[in-house]
Amino acid sequence: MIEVTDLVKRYGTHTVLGGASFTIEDGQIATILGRSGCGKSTLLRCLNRLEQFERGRIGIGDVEILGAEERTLSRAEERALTRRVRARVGMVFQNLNLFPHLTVMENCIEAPRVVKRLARAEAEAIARRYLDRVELSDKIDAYPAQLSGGQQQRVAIARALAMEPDVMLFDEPTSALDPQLVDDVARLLRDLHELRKTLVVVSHDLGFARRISDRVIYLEDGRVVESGTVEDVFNAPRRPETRAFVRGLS
Amino acid sequence: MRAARWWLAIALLPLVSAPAWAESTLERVRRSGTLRIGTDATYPPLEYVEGGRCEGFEIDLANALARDLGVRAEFVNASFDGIFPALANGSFDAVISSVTITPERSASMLFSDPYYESGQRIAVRRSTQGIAGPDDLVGKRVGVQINTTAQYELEKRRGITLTPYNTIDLALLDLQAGRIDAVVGDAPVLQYMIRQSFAGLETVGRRFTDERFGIALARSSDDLRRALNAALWRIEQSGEFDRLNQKWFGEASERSGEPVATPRAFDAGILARTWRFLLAGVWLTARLSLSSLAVALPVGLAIALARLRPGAWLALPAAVYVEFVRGTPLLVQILFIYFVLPTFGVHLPAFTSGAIALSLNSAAYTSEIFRAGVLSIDEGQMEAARALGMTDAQAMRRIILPQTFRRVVPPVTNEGIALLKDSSLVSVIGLTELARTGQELASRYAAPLTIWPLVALFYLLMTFPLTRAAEYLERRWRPVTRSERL
Repeated sequence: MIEVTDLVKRYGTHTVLGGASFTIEDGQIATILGRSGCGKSTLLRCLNRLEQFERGRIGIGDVEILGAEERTLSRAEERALTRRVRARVGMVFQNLNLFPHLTVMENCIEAPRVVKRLARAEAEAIARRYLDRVELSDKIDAYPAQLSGGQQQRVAIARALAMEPDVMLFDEPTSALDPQLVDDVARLLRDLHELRKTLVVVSHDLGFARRISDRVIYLEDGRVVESGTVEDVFNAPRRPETRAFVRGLS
Repeated sequence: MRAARWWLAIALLPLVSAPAWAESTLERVRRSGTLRIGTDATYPPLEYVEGGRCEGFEIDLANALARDLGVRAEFVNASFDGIFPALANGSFDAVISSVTITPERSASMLFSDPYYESGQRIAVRRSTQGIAGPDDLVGKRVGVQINTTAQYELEKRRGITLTPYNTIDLALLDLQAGRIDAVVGDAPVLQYMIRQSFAGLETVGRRFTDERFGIALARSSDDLRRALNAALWRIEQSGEFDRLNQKWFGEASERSGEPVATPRAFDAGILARTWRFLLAGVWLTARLSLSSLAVALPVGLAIALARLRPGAWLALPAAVYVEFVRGTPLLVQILFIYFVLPTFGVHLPAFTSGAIALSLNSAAYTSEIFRAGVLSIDEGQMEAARALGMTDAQAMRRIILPQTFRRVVPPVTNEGIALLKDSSLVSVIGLTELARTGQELASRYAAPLTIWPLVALFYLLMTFPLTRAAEYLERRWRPVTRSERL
């Protein structure tokens, strides 16, 4: 279970997250919605410790992260915490950030070999399993620049999966894709469900969110203003602003 | 006569005075059986290099003096810039290199009794009329060797347009080409060079200055000075001094060089006589540059990484190092390592000193190339690696640096070539690399038009493989582009 409680994140005097709280059950697909600048990407980055935050608490399974103002960590403690968080949480970036100098296979085995110290054969066996799953078995020797945008995204997903995390974060997975590819991504994410992963997806695409989500979290000015099932948020939003957003974009 | 970059020697002198507890210079000479003499052998017929050895009037004189003292003379051939600091820090026992005794020099070093009287003379084209003395130079364009007593003397007179040249043979070449009206220089050297290869030129008038050459010694070497004065007196009494004078400056002197009929452009005969020495220069330059580059690349990378780590305690000293090295001339760095470190008890051979100076200098520049290379990699690469669980060090090593190396091949190649050419500066500490070899040969044969193109060609031949290696790496490491879709 992912539990976020009263999360406060500031950049200087600007408050990005002003006390966000929500929970996501294991195995759920949760979508964080909101206008651009509402803090949803920052929230995602807090979940895998790419960002630190000032106050509040994040619990991911038995890993607990507290705000910097509540608990000061030594460098060694910070390193240990980061290691535990990242072992559990994988991420697919909006612009993917594939390693351009490595082939598809090398992209997928680099971290398992360096971080988990797996032997090459073992790492390749795991990578092959996930590359099969994203239907890229025939591209393992290609370089990222030789692939289409959709294929590149699937490499990024396989790369994250190869570390075998419990939670997968997706930052705007549909932003750079053609409409017909959006269907493929939606199917792929539902498919990851079978692997019993918990998925947290940041998106502003309401149609996409509606199709994939078990749970929707609507963020406004750094606060969670709606949180519930797809039906709750889309059909019976509690606040008029949400209603306008849902109507206007869907 | 010559005093090239005199300020440098003066600036370094206070740093390099010999320690008081050392044995006296004369004791050291007697104990070791060698008299170490610094000379800039590009000044025929006084001192020059012939067949890889020092020759000339002053070389013969130095050998005679050493024999008289019962020791062996050992010559260190270095450019004029480097000779005086080396004398002051005890790298040589004496300097015999056509050094005019002047009051300024006497303040910082000792001189033996004068052994040679020289003076400035005027050279003109044979067709020139009306120049017979310095007064006739008013309104004329006159070439001199830079920072020589010739230049100082003419600067005192008004109305003369002075053009300074690095070496006297270049001034004579320009005179022959008609760009200047006269050349003023040390009488014996002018006469030698004109006889050797400037048939269209002649010396006119009489010597118009009186200059006396002396053996220069460190201030702490008074005992050696007295021993050399006694030896000079005995050599004069024995008639040997006259014999040397006759041999080098007499009318029948064979050593003054055979006259040639026409001014020469490229002379293949000189190539046949000099290629072995040029190749030796190539070999030294190549060894020096490659070993320096081999040190500069890893050190430069380490400096770059130290500066890139936010908050690391090494970042500040690394930044200071880069600022310091880039902000000071390489020449001063070379002189510092070779001449100043010995006063702290660090004695390094010339090659090691030169290689260290070049490495440390180049490391500062390469560090900036690597730093810029790392900064040019998209931040997302680092984030992706960290999100996969890599530590910053792992991400740097496995993800960032491999991409950086591909990008910095062209600027690093540039730096390698610059290093190769900058290596010519080590001639100040007595390393006869390619450029210095060229200087020695050009003055020996008075044939700059043959020697310098050859030197340039050899430099080109050395940079060529470097460029090719870089091209190979670039092709091999080329980031795979979209145009090659499977």
